[in-house]
Amino acid sequence: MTAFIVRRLLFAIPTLLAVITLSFVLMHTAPGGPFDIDAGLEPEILENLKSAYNLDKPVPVQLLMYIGNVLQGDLGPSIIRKDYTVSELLSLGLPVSLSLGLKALSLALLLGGILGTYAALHQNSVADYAVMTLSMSGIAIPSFVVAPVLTLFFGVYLNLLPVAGWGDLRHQILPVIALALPQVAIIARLMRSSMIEVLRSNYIRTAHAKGLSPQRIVIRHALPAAILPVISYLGPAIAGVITGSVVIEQIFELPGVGRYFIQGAIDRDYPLVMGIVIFFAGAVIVMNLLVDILYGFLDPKIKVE
Amino acid sequence: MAEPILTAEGLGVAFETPDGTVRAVTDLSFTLNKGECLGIVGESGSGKSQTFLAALGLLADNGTASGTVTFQGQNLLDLTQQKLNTIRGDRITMIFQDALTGLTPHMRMGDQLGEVLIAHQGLTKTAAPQRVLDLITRLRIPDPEKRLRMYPHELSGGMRQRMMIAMALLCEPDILIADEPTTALDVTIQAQVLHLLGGLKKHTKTSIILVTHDLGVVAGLCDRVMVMYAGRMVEQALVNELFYDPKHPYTRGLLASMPRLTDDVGDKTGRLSAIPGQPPNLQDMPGGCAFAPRCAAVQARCHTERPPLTQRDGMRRLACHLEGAS
Ligand SMILES: Nc1ncnc2c1ncn2[C@@H]1O[C@H](COP(=O)(O)OP(=O)(O)OP(=O)(O)O)[C@@H](O)[C@H]1O
Ligand SMILES: [Mg+2]
Repeated sequence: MTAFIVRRLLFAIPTLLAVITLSFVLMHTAPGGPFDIDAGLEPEILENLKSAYNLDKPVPVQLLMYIGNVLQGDLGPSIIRKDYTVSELLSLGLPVSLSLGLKALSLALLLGGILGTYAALHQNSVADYAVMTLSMSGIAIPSFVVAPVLTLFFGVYLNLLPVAGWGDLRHQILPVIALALPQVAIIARLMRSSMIEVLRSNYIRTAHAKGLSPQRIVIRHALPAAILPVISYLGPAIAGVITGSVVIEQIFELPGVGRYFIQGAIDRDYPLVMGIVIFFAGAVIVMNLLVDILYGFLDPKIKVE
Repeated sequence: MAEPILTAEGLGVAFETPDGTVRAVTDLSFTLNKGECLGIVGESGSGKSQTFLAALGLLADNGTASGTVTFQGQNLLDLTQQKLNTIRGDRITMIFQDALTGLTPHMRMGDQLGEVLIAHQGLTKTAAPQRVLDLITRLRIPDPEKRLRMYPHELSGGMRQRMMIAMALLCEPDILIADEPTTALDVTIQAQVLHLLGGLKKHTKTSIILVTHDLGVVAGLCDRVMVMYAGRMVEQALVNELFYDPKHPYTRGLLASMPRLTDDVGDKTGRLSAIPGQPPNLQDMPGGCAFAPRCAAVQARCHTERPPLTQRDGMRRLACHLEGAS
């Protein structure tokens, strides 16, 4: 088990290096730079500024220097928000994004799981078609459309919930829903089809032949097997939630990591963007590892080693 | 002695498929007597399994059962799933053809066995394991504590089948339906499983229905045999009557295709003879006798007129135009 975790973390290093290199090069080839807004700056001052952040050196050299710093745990200072280091900004945004993301993911699992199971148990009923239609729309309609619609309806017309900002739990309701909906839709479909397949299997027939109650059969015999494809999907789901949070935090003006990412990209705040990219990539890698370990617990046939 | 415990009358099983209706079982009537072991034989697809799945309300979603199957004065086919759940797993139990996929992969054996006692005998979660262990030990399964902590995939095929049997015996059922309990197993394990069933027959009051391809197994364990072909009964008799004097050409074919040490049934070269041809398509059955296209002794009317199932001498019932000739 420990060996498995260590091996997986070692494999993560080349992945992270590739991610860093790719984003670094892409970002630096994009036109513009961090000091464009300070137009009219004396050329000498501009030069000094650039050399202070090593921006005067060739990109490959910058990249190597950056990787060297990262290996020492230093993500550097933010160029635009001069009073903060990138690590400080990350730790400011993290609680917001984490609480948002975990809630959205839990909601997606719970709601998607229940809807999918219900649809599978009532296959080809009106409820089944309703769930599948909703789920299809959930997949098709992007969250940047869903979010404003939710805001308009619950925030503006009904005036029930705040439309933006960060404060109490009520501020989180709309963003969490907007973030979770596409995942609810995907998980419901996954859950439905795998549940239908499991319900047809021989061991479910055995369970019926034993005279067990339908509830027990679904919960104890079918669910642990039917949930496995959903667990496998958790990795992509987490990546989806992270991507979604970048958009949702912007729409609802939430001070999360995703918001800093957008701001950083607009300002060409290279260290900030790179720091967040590394953070997101690391989060996806660690979460995938956790998912695989969880999978091993649920399926006794898979021994994690 | 001959007190019926399970009676099927006019039992039919039909499946709706995109290509039309498949009649897996048609107008089947039989009885199982108390303490008796009834063998059911027939080629693959003759409707043996579906007959008993229908009786226990376990047909696939596209299947429907008609007729009656009477147990303790009630028609099992009319019962709600809730009512059925008080009977199946408790009074009537079934061992399935495929022990390899028939056990829940993510549950420990002890839990899978224990939940039967919890469901039917109201045992508590803490009391069930001891009772399970007692039974498993009595069935002489080696190393029982360890085995009960295992998951199905950690057990051999034979061990899984024995666990299945144990599961079916926990509540000391009135009827045990064993659907090809030995098919997937190698010969030595087969012998162990059969020994187990033989002991059950000798030492308990449980009536047994044994579905099998293996006529040798029938000869060893059963009192009476029913031969099925294309969803119908074609012959039924006491084991001795059937083995020494098979009447239906299909039964004869089955016996001839059975390996024996003192071979006097196979053809002159001493090879086994298989029945030529294929069972009919259950979607559009020929008008006459379903076996006619493959029958060596076929007559003209066999193709147009279905032979009725009639009572013959002794316990025998037979559906064939020929009989009387031989
Ligand atoms: N869900 C289903 N839909 C359509 N046809 C089915 C379905 N289930 C079973 N059948 C058909 O019913 C017929 C009888 O099947 P059954 O399982 O009773 O055969 P069997 O006598 O037990 O054979 P075997 O010895 O192979 O187990 C087969 O032709 C099978 O194809
Ligand atoms: Mg069968």
